[in-house]
Amino acid sequence: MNILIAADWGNQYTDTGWFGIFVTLTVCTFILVNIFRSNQRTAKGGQLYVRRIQGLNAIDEAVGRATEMGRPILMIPGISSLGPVVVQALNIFSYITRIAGKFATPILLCCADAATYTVAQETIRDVYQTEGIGDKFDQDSVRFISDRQFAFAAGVSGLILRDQVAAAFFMGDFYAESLIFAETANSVGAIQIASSTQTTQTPFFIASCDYVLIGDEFYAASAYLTRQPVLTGSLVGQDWSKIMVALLVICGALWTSFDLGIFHRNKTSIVKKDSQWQILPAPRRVKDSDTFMSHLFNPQSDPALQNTIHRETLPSLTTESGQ
Amino acid sequence: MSYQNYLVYRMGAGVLATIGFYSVLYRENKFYRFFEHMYIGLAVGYSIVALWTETLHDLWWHRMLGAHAVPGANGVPGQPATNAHWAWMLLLPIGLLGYTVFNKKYNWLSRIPIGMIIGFNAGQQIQIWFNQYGPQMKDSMRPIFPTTIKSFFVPDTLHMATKQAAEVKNTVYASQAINNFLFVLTLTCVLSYFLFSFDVKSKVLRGMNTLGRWLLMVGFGAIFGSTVAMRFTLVIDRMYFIFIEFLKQGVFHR
Amino acid sequence: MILASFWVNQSGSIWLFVKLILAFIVPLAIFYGIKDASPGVRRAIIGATFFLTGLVYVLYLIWPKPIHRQPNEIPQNFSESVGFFVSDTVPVAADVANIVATFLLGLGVFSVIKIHSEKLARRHRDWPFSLVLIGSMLLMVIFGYWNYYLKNYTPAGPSLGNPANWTFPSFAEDFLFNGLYQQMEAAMFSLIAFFILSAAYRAFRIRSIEATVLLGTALLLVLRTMTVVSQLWADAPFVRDHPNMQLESIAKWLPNTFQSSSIRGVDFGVGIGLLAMALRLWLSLEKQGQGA
Repeated sequence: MNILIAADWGNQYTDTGWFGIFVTLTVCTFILVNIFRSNQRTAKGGQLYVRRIQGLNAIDEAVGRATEMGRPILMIPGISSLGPVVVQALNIFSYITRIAGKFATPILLCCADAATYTVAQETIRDVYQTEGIGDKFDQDSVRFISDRQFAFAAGVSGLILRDQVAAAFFMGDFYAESLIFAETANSVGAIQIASSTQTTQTPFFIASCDYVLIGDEFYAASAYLTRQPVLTGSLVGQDWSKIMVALLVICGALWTSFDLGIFHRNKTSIVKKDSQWQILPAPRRVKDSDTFMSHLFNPQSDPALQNTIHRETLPSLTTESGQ
Repeated sequence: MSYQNYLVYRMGAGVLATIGFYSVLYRENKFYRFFEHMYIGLAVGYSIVALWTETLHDLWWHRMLGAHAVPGANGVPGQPATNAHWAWMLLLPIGLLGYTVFNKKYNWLSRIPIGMIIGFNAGQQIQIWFNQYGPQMKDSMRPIFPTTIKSFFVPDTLHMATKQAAEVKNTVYASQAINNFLFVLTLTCVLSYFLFSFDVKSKVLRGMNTLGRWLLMVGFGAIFGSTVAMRFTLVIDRMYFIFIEFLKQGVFHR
Repeated sequence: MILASFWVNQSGSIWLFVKLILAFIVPLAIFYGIKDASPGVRRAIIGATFFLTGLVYVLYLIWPKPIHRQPNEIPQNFSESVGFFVSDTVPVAADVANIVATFLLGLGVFSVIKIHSEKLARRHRDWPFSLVLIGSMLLMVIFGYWNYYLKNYTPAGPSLGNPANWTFPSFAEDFLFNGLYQQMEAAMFSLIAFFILSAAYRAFRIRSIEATVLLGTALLLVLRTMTVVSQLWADAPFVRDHPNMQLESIAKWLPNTFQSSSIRGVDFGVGIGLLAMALRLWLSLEKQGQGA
């Protein structure tokens, strides 16, 4: 049976391999379904609920202060290479730029990656243009510093100190350099709103910044700020997925406990190897690797499968070889 | 100049740079500014060198043009010929599109190479999601009931026979069960703190939410504490470089 | 004998160069042709770029992977053809993204040079520093490539591993890279130790309960590493009889029980957020740029 399924369905579906794909697709479905729901509700004039996120309410305050002082706003989309994290950071930065643009407050967006620099140029120019102040866009307000971690940190610190930034936004992937930025910006009295998708850096931001978006508050930010139906819908889908994961963990913990046996340990006389059940010569105590959850999450390969496949081959190639 | 002398001068330059960077702790000054600009210059210069030597030559140029066989000589082994794949050239015009970004009219074209980079990255995130988090989910499903009542704490396995020690390892003691329960509870409370689309009215959920934030702070504190020592090793390493390697072994020991 | 097909050529053959030139010119011509496309077409082109590139990985996840595939095998049917294609493409895809991103480095360098050469030209207050920046960049590029050339394309190359055989360019490159660049990196990295203290001090003064919980835990973990303190604690009356109350045990118990679990809770959220973001980007559901 197993062989049949795998032969038709491919290597990754062998044994319990389907489970990971199933969970991933379920999460994707939750998100897409809720985006659809949200779009429908918006069409009817309603809106999905999003709870208050503290750090984000401070954005207006920070921009306002920079405007009053006439000093620039610094924004850094992390130091990772271009990907969804950077795009999300730039989404938040476009919102900030939009407010700053209205008051003609100078901005400074520093990038540690050339591809990020390209998108940031595009995105920020776009914001100015849609606001009808395209002529006020200064190409040099979006800068590439260096793509080496600490050279970038040195360059940004220098800018913070010399330009005396009034507000600083650090959002995206930050690593060890997070403290250099945050403490330097603090030393010039800037309001700081930070968020790192690298959880190991969050405590340093908490210790040194005024407001911190923890964990996926970063991803919830754009939904919270703009209330676009696609984003709020996606956020609801994400919540469903988190509940699913929590339930999975709780049920898994209970199931594993029962598999191991409460207070008196269970015994087993069969064991699964190479995705086949085998009978043991003598029953032995149940180990964690014998539990249902362990089998579900660790699909085994099936060596018997290879005998079911016979493909034709190309004639083998010979290449000129160095002597 | 001997190589040893050169090394001392080289270290001297490094020491100067280190002092330059440390001076910013007092305040921003011209000395710092000098080394900061030099550092960025060197870093950008190095990126330009690495661009070819570490990325484009091996990943692109070599695959695109292939190579003839290199005969071995003087004990150095030769290398077989490699095929040329012209299609790699297609990436160059795509990459060049990025340079339209400064053009007001045609800057939309720069979104094509950008779209490729983001598209690949986004697809990859979907593909690896479960590989990354699945094992963590499994690991969190810890047994929350003890499997024995013989002892509350885990017995010391230091002086036990291997077989007995293995037995202890496969047993869940009450203290472990409590820890596992706290683990699952913390995980659930923290997850519940990150629910954004529910207006939490029930007292239990609200309590879980608050507890989640507190437990989170304990977790963050633990990270903070364990990182402090690591960061201080870096300073000690710098001090060793200045005082031992440069001054003691370099300058005064010649 | 090297297999010559449409995609593969022998190194240095005439056909290879013809194809290379065409592969450079034809896309440029196409891009020139579409440069004035209407906004709808533009959106379609960009959306297709996102979708097709992301699709490779999504197919890698869900499309049946060929079982027990051996080199040089021919796929049996359509499903396997797709499977073969996808599993051949995925390892290359990361390189493709990497290479395209590398081509964009020129834009970043352009930004750096532009800002600092303008400072130079306008005799901005800090112009000497801009000169230092551009100068050190040029030196690094010149000696970096010079040394690379000497190492890889001259007969003396393999012997350059030994400093005794070095000439001026090798010394210069070593001085710039190992003497300055590496040392500066280490110096900048170690600055964090000072910042970690000032951050802790400040957070301590805020006296919010949360910050106190955070720093209390941190302090406990730091104290554990100090032998004097953990010894004093171990000798305290209650602790002496309860080995589980020793600083070492508590300091191990805290991270094991609370750190990994709470961080995992955050990470699950982050992971799902990232997945959702990736999904929205892949399907172009996100109004990119105008998002927020």
